[in-house]
Amino acid sequence: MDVLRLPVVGPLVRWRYFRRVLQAVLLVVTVAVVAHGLFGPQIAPRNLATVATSIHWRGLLVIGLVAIGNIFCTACPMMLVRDGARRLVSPRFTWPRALRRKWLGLTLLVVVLFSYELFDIWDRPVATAAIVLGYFALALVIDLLFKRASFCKYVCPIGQFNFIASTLAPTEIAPRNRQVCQQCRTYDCIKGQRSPTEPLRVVRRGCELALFVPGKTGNLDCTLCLDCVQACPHDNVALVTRVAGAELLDTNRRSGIGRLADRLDIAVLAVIFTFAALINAFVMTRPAFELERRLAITLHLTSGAAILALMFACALIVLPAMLLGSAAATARLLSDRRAPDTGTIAARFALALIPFGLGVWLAHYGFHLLTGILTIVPVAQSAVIDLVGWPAWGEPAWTWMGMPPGLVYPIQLGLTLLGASGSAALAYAISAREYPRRTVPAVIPWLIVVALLAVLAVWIIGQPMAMRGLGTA
Amino acid sequence: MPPAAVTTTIVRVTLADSRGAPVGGAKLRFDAHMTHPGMAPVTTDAIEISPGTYQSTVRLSMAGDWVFVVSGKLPDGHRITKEMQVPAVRAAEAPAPPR
Repeated sequence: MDVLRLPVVGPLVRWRYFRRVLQAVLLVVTVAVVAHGLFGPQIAPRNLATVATSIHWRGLLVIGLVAIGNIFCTACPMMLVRDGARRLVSPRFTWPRALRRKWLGLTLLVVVLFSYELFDIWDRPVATAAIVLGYFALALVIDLLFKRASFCKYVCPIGQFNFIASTLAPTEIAPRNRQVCQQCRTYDCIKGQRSPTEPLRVVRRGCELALFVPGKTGNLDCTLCLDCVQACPHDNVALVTRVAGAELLDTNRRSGIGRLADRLDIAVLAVIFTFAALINAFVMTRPAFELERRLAITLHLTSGAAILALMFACALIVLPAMLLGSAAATARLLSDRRAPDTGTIAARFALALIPFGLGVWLAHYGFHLLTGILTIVPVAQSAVIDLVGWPAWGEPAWTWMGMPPGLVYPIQLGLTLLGASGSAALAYAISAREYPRRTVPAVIPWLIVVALLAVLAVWIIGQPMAMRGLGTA
Repeated sequence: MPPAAVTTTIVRVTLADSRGAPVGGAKLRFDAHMTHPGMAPVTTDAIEISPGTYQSTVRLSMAGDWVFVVSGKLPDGHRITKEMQVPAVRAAEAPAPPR
């Protein structure tokens, strides 16, 4: 099914200014978030900066990814500001070849997640506002120096998160009719549509992320900007529904990406995505505080940063290396002596963990969204009082919250187990592809890994949450 | 005495003007928020128990860092807000079992 052909929705999404409107809305929200963060009350639950980002934006982002696709990249307000700035300053450089992988982006993703915990960003409205401003500044500097969407493709940590998660989205950009693409000689979807009277002037931008629609597979690196939809003179670009995750099994070379099997960086990003979901949820629980306390005593560590770094290193390096390494080695023994080396096997199966990782992210961020979804109302009321000096939107209804945590818990459980089931199915499919004659023996170690991770995740989400202040007190 | 979670805590606030004289007749509200957004706040109206002294009885739902906020209107119509950080609230000790 082509979403762009649906009544009402299709014309709306294909409307030339659809993306601009979404971006403008998010830009207004961002301005409000930054202003309230900088000048509003420095109480996290009463400030738009902390509430809108920690509760609503994170939750809606992951739900949007699985329900629609990479819709938050579509609506990214940073690109609206960048496009405005590029009318004044044209970038001159091309992104360095040595950095055309995900290593920088995934490193920044870890840095962001680590800093969020270390500096307690969630309870610091000023810091949240400063980070938003810093993020805009970084995107602007990079994209005013370097051509195309260098920031999105190689730097943006949120973008890398979205790219990996969107491999499980229900839609993707694809050619409507491949024969039309074969006959095309202008390649506007990637080169941009030129003015008929001024051939050097691009009137409709082509894909800035180097994804050529006829050769594109899946959602990796696709920001769903719809530039290709606008640029195609044959109206031959569709937003098709599909089987979520199937793209992870495709071994063909894909435009802008290459072969997935050759992209160790994407495999590592998938691992970080998955295990970061666990550590991000774990550090909020009471056992995490107890572990921090014990580490401090046992290792004579006085620095909170060192303790947290140790926990992150264990979660993002040691645990994945142990689990994936032993599973790959066992799978190699059980399958075929001619199988590739252990590292290659681990990289291929690492992609199977993405559904589980997304399930845990959904369970975690969905918990905060569902239990705090109505908090935006009193916070907005309070922000209006801060702005105009009187309760124009009424007195803040601070008791407006959301679903009771007890009701959300079964949903969390379901999402986690659904993700684990998806990972198990994907692992089986990869095993069938790699070892057609030894599919079952080769997949057993991976099913054990998924089961262990699922048990760990269920244990984590079942733990009582403990707020900050308990670990070192 | 520091507050403890999951048990009754009495919060008493004294309101005085710039000369130190008690300010009675104010309509005050007491809110307790966790520092993490998205957690249920504890809200209650404060009762004036003596001229210029207001009291609320609250039950903090969880251990952790809290922020207490007293807000409301003075008799002359001015709005006031005062906040106080209350870090590291611990769960109340369970009573010893009967012997």
